[in-house]
Amino acid sequence: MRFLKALNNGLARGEAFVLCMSLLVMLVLAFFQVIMRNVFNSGYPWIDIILRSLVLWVGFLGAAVATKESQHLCIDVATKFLPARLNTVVSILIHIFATVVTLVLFQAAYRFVMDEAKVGATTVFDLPTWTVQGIIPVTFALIAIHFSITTIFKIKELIYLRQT
Amino acid sequence: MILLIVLGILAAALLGAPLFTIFGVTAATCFHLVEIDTMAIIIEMLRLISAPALVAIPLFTFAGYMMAESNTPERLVNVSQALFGWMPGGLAIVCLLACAFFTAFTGASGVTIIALGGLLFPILHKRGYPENFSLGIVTTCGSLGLLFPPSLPLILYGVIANVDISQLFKAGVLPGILLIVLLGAYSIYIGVKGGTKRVPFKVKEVLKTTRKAAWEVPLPFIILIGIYGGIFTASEAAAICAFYVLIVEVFIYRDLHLTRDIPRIMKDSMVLVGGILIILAVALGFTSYLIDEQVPMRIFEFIKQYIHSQAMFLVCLNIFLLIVGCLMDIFSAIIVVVPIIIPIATAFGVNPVHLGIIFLTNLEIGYLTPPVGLNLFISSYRFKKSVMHIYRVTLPFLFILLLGLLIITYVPQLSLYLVEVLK
Repeated sequence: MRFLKALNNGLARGEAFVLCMSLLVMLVLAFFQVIMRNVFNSGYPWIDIILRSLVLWVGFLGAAVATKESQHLCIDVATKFLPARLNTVVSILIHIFATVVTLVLFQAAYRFVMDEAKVGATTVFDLPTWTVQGIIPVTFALIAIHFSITTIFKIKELIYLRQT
Repeated sequence: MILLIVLGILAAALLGAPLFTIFGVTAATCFHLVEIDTMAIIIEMLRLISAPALVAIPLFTFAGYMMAESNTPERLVNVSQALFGWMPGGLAIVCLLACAFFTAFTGASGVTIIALGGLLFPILHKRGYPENFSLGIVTTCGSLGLLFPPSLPLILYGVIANVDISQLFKAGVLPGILLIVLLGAYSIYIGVKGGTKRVPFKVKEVLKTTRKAAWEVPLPFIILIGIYGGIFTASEAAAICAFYVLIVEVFIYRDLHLTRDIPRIMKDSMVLVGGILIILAVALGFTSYLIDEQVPMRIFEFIKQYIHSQAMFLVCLNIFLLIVGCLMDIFSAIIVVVPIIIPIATAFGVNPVHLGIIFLTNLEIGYLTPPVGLNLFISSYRFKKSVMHIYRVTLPFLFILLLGLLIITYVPQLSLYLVEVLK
């Protein structure tokens, strides 16, 4: 249990670190581009491409952290009206469901990125596209880990609820 | 078999499964049924990288969260109190304006009620406003201002509907003002009737509070003039705004600490952005499947038998969207419903920019619609009142907003006038 908790927190900390760095780079590059464009009438097309790739990174890493913090957007009508124990049962089922779906998405993303790497497609500065797109399978894997750890915690909570 | 799958997915959604998993499983099932590889979902996802306006979303959100965490709310309330506190119902109007400003930046994610509602509710109470009215207005204000630039839902609608975002930024202004005026009129009525305390107007006080907020007051004007004057795009405005707010809050006001606060705020704001973008990413596959299968046109063919006029269509649209707005948060609703509604509405001759404004007004009201509107629950949690009580006190405001919605829906000029004038 303690290991799982440490793993969950450690991964989230790593995700948050890369997330903040990406946002910082995005902020600086975007501001630099505005200044170049409006003051010096120039600007670099590669910055736009990097900015758009960073949106993908920030979005996906944000989603990974959101998973750990149980902050995903959802329709939580039922949970507001269910009693505590039933709520935990529902929550366990939902987390198992979410883990499975995320694994399916991971599997699709993994195959896609592998194909891209094989073809050898590139983006700015001859950077292979998989370096940008790789964040998709990586994030789905991280999300699946967070979901499954939460599932285990919820099961433990249910056992505890039953005992009291 | 298919019916069983649909029911299963629906049950998972209603029981609170994260929405991106719902769209993920739906997209995977759809593609599987027509024998397309699930990799197609990922290919559709990469369309995210080709939308230049999307950069605006993380940057504006980050700016909004920084302001919410600093002392901006206090300074903002002080300036508007000095300006409008002398009017009957003045403090309630202060509340409307400050919340609208804030929601425009934070995108109605509950941040307004938490950051501003908690600040304003005790002051309203102290000045003699009836408790029910005060509670109602801070709950209602939580989503007021969605129609003003640079609100996140406006940008998201633009990206998904493929409508020019600066046009939407112009279109939202008059309808947004209309809602504030309607709610303001009610506040004045309550203020006069209840004999609430007012503060006398003092030029000195106005100068003092304005000087304190001198770095924040120009922000909306920089954005508005920049965008309306065609000087920069929405994404560029977002970059300027985020950079400016960072410098002002960290180095000038020193409200936020660069290493203690900023990383945490970055993370918190990006959790919201990530939550939205991953739904968008996964839903792109699902909606493109729907478009390929011509689902919107089939729906159109079907409802054409019953709905013959644009006016009738708009009534049905309003009812439909109110239900959606009450069940889903605004971002997911835009992501899923807009791609389906746009072709249908266009077939009925509704302008996509006007449609966007109708859309957002509906979803804004959906936040307040019992039994499950989101603001009602945030407010009940924040002010420790039963949800039933919150239902009751927001009811008058709900009716006023519905009146506003009717005007916005049936007077398209209100949304389109500025778009045409400020070309």
